[in-house]
Amino acid sequence: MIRIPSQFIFFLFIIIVVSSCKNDDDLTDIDYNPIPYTLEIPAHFPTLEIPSDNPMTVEGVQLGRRLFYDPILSADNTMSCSSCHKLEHNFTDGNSTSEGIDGIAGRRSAMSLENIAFFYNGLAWDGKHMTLEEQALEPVTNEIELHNTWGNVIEDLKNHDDYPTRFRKAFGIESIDDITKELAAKAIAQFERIIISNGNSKYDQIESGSIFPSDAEFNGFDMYFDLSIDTPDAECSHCHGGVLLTTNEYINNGLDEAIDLTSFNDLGRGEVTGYLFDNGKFRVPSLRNIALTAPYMHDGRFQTLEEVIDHYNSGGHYAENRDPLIQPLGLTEQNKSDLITFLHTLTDTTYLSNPDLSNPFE
Amino acid sequence: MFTILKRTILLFSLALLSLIISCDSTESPGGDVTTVDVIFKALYNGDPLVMNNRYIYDGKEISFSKLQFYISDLSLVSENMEISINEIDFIDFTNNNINETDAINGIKVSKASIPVGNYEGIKLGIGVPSDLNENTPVDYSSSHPLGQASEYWSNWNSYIFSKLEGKFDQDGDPTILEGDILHHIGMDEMLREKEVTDLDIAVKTNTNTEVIIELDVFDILNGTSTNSSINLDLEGFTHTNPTDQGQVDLATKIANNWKSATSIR
Repeated sequence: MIRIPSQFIFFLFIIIVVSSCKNDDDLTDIDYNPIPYTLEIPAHFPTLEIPSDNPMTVEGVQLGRRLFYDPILSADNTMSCSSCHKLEHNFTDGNSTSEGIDGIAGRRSAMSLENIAFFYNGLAWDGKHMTLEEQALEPVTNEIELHNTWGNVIEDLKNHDDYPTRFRKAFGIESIDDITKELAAKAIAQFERIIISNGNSKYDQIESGSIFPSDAEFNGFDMYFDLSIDTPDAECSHCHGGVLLTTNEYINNGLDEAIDLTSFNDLGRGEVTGYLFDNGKFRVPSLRNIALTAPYMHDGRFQTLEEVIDHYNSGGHYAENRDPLIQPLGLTEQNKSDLITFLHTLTDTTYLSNPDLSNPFE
Repeated sequence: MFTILKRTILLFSLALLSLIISCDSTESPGGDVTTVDVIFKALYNGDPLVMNNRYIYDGKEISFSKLQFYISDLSLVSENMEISINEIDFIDFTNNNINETDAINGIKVSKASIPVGNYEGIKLGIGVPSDLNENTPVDYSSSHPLGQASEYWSNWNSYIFSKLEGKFDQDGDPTILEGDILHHIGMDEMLREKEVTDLDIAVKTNTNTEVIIELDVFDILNGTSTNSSINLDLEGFTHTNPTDQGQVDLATKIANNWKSATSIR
């Protein structure tokens, strides 16, 4: 008879017990059956182009929404994406420039996220990021924004009592160790893709012929789109045209005089491309809901639409790359008033009541 | 017996499949299609045009910051057939011609599956044909030439067929170029069709054939006669606004000049 040492039996027992224990990091017991997210896009809007490696799912959008509103992304747990992109300000923050967790003001104003899913020519004022997934990675580590590290964030997410399950349900990860910054960014991007306006502003209704504009609105519309020689061409639609009221190009709109193209305080697009003649250029923002997103320009220098119109009416300041559309417009006080009246027809806040956009922690 | 038959069919199918997979589509019957590279070059008075460099026009310093246009229905023409190379392409020199080297190289657009043979001519349209101009950017993906909101006038229901922008010396002191140039041409009637018939284009298998299309911006401004030359002090600006006959007349002049400024070799 062969005698088996008792130590060996004990060791074998331990091995069996350990291997039969469920790994705490294992998430495979949680169902992974993502439901495709159905977007509601106005019929006259462009087709939404969604990256094939980040399809929209209900679970992905819900996870992204939580991450968007959760201060867990910041180093001191005080700020989130929503701190600078507030729903009640049409996803801006209402400030000239935005401050991060250390109270340091950035150089630029927070852009609205309305309809951001449709902008394929670069994001932010300078087009530094080409996709929402790429952009979502940046604020976390930006020293004047959330000033954190992705390592810290991922650890916090792994140790959280809810997020590992949500990552499993959204992306089918098998272990909490599979939580990555890339997946977090994908989820945030999915959420940002649902920030789509209803396309039912007064302007849309005027365009579709369902309502008539007032005289002032009509005159403003006329100047904005240069439809008649009876009113001045306000040159607006050449940059703020199309369904989304932006061409999404980068231009120098004459904000600062620059005899030397290196002398701009903020080089804007030039910082990204390194091309001298891109210095001082910034992305043309959409004017949908423009009345809600003061202050204006990349540095929030104009507090009101009246100041904006006055700037364009003046023809702006000289720089060799100032866009040729920036010309003295010759608008009278009545013209300016009518133009602003028209700009108010671009307001449509109804989409902000979409429950999927609200803060899930409130 | 049945098993042997099945095996034979299987082997035959496999052999046929391998044959299909190994075939190169460009070597289809007769090996008669290949790739043609269409190369677009922008010039100024015969020299490569570099964006934002200074040139002379009408005795004044001038520079260009934007140069782009649609080219449509490009086709190769031989004695008995016409081969369509493209339906629509958007040629944008603005961010391409930013230095001498890139300006010399131009913009290459490769077109596959062109039948080999000898062609004597080329046809092309400068602008967007009316059937496509009925559409809007919303009808296309963002990567399609017609999918860009920046190239469409929603107020006038037309694509912008071509854009030329720049600055010129207006006051005799060229330190600063204070005069603006903005020629945006569009609307159906501004489409210009060009045909060149005295060419000798040999499209051969396994050899990329190059067709070079040159646009000389000096000729866009200078025209072919005194009547067609552009006086920048008076004719620096047009959106082809259909409610402004002066803008339409200038746009017509530019569209005509654009055609004559386009050459093929």
